Amino acid sequence: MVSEEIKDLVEYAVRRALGMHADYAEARFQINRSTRLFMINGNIEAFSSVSVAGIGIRVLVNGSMGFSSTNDLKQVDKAIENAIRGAKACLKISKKIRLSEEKFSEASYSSKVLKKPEDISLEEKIEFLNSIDELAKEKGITTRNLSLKYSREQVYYVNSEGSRVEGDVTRLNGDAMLTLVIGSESAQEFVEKGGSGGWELIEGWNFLKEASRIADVMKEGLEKGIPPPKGKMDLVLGPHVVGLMMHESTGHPYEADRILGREAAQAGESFVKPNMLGKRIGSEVVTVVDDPTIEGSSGFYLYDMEGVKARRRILMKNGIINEFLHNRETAAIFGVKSNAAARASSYDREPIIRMANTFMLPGEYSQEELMEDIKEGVYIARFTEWNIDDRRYNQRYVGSEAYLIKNGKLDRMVKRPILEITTPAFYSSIDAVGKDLEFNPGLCGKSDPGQSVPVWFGGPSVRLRGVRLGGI
Amino acid sequence: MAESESFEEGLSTVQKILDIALRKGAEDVAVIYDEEIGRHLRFSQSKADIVNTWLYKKVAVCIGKEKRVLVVETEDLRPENLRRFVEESIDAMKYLPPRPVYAPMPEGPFDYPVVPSLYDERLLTAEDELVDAAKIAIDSALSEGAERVAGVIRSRAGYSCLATTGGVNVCARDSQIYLEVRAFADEEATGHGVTCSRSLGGIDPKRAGIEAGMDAVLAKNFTKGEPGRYDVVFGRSALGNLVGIFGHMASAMYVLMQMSPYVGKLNQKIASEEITLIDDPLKPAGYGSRAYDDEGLPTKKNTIIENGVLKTYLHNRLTAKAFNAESTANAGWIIPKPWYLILKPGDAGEEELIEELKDGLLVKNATYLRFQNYMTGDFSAVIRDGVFRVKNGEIIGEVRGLRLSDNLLNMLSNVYQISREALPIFHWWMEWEVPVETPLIAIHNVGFTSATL
Repeated sequence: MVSEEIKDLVEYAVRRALGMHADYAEARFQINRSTRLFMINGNIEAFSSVSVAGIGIRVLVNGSMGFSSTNDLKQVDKAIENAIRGAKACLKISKKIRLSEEKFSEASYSSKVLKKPEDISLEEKIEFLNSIDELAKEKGITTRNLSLKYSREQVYYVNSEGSRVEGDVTRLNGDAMLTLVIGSESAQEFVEKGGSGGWELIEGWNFLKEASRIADVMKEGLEKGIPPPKGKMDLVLGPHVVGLMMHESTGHPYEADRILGREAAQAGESFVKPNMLGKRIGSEVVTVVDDPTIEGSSGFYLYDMEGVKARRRILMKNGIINEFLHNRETAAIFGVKSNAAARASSYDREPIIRMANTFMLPGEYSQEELMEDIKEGVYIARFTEWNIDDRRYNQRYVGSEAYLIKNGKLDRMVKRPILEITTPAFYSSIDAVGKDLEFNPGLCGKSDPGQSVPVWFGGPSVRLRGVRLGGI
Repeated sequence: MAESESFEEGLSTVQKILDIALRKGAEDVAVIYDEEIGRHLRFSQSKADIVNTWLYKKVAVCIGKEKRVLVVETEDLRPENLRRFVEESIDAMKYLPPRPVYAPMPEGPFDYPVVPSLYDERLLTAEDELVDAAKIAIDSALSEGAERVAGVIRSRAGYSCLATTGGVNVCARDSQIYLEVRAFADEEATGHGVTCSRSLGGIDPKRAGIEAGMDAVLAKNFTKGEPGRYDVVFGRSALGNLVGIFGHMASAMYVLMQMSPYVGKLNQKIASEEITLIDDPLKPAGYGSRAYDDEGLPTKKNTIIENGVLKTYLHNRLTAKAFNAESTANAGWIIPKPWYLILKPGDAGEEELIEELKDGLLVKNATYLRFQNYMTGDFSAVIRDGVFRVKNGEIIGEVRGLRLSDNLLNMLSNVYQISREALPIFHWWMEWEVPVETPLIAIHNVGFTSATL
């Protein structure tokens, strides 16, 4: 719980900013604590503990926006003054920003935590990493870089329009970077599990089973993998690949700030334009959502950092562009209500539009059914390298675990097939969606100054008809 | 607060924490106190989005005890919380297994080099000046024919103090300012300009704006790019990213983790003879220059690649011990890192590099670089902000839809020409966050792919 003294300070900051002629003010005390164990080849290389805490104040003055922060709570007055001064300083070139009208209330929420990570002994945590390391070593994995991180984010948010929100989310993450060297060849795989909650999440991860399977796959790929076929064919993509694609080619281009050009100098804009709402971009079997309200997810929250109540956003509905991700600034421009996509990674960052948990809704097909009528194709289960251009139009995913499909059955492993495809071509070529929805955790980076926020990538398997595998 | 005239708060804080840690039985300790004021203006559609102002006071501590290592960072500097945070962290260390490789903090005190021109106190208070500089950059790009402009201007100024159990007790002021501008002449025709400096007067917003605007307009005339291999001249925005990775991959920690293509290649030829890559934290006014590393060692110039041969990995005290080497004064307590990478210039004029391209590409920016396998160095990157087709030494227009898809070591080995002027570069897509000073370079036979649907 944030102390009453801190809450009073946050309330004071809003009052004080209004007293200094801000038209709108909000203040947020945020504390992000994290602890991380990092192991290389069975040895604890580092144990780190980080505590980032302070107050951030955002104001509007005649349509000009200023943000200021400090971690020295004796300097809150100075920070308020800086926010106001900053807003005034850029009046001559400002955008005349408005915020959407929203209903606000007093609320609090927290993630469900059965076993607090800080109550679990360090020995047990190290044992968790040791068990993965020993198994991977037995499997012949040359280098094991393992990490376990638990974090807690506590927020107290107040704005001048009546919002008071207290949030408290604990998260747990484990990851393994595995390298296998056989002769002159090598393979690398990154395995990650995570979500919001406590130590109880570990049991659901099946990390050992997953690491064991991947170690076997890495060996098989190096020893028996053949070059992938090239040219036009049918593909099946597994949940690991589809989840990332949902984030990169639906989530990001549907961020209204990107659509309006606010990220143009950094990650870029979007091929999606405001007038594309209601237009078909994919096949009827594709529906993509972003949902912060999923309990246990990495991107979990119930109120965003503008005090707006969170809900599921249906970004693409049966192949049609349905909804963008909004904060109050973009919602006002589009003439809609905010759908609560404003997040801030720490007290010293302005809230900006972010995804939470982005995923394709599952269909009815089993993996066998997705493959049964493919005579010759490729199944890409997991990806390694990927990127996507700054309009989120032209993307590339390189398979790390992939197989030939022959006469409806999985055949030999293929090495690093390359799918390079445009976003409309990808969504239009999907003709069947699996029922095997899975989520993977990740950190989404955006903006200047950079903000990394925890998200889930989710997807079922999908079948693509007549796409090309490429590369040089 | 960074406006204070002395280092009093920093010095007393680092000493206090050092004492707390020693009383709790720590053997090797380094404490860093940072205090700064940062300002930042974001703009897009040629208008301001927001002005950010940050006041920071931060503490980071590295503690060694009985061959165990702990790193703690906190911004909660209330004395009772600081004490509790450090003490509880040290208590937890007993559950850690000892490291097989351990080394104490370097034993000082040391004489530190004087690196001039790293601080401009005007950046403590500059606010209107940032808005004016942004306006100059925007107007310059628009005057070249751009339709709209986006970017940031960011400054920081303050001081930091370091105390270690090796007898180090030192403080230094520093400041930085950079401006990044991206101009759009239509939906996809873009240009990029960057200027960075240690001082307010050292940036050139007009030049950055003009470069971004000119390239954006030039990129309006385009054709679809054909995948394949091309001889390429890389611009500085692209090289900021690439050279940063060439240097960062020399960190001994990445080598230990097998996350570098330089594994097992020390003293081997890994690049063309044209390539000499130096980490030079002693460069006067260098954007990444500094006099000491995080363990208190005086920094020095390290030649990472000399005429194509990999000469050293970058070390802190712990990786140096693991490699039976000397620290190169690049601590990072956990991961050693370069400070200011300088690619040694060649003797060609920038125009010459392009004039000598018979049939190739000029690639101005490379972003979103991701590795398929860090050990092999296979990667791809998104190219943008001017990807120009050059025929018989002349730019004939932009090509679109290509993706840089190659191998780091292949590219290093295929460098055939370097221009004579190295300039500093720092921008958002330099994800390793190491400032770079680079000339232009020309590379044979670089691979490009494209989406086929």
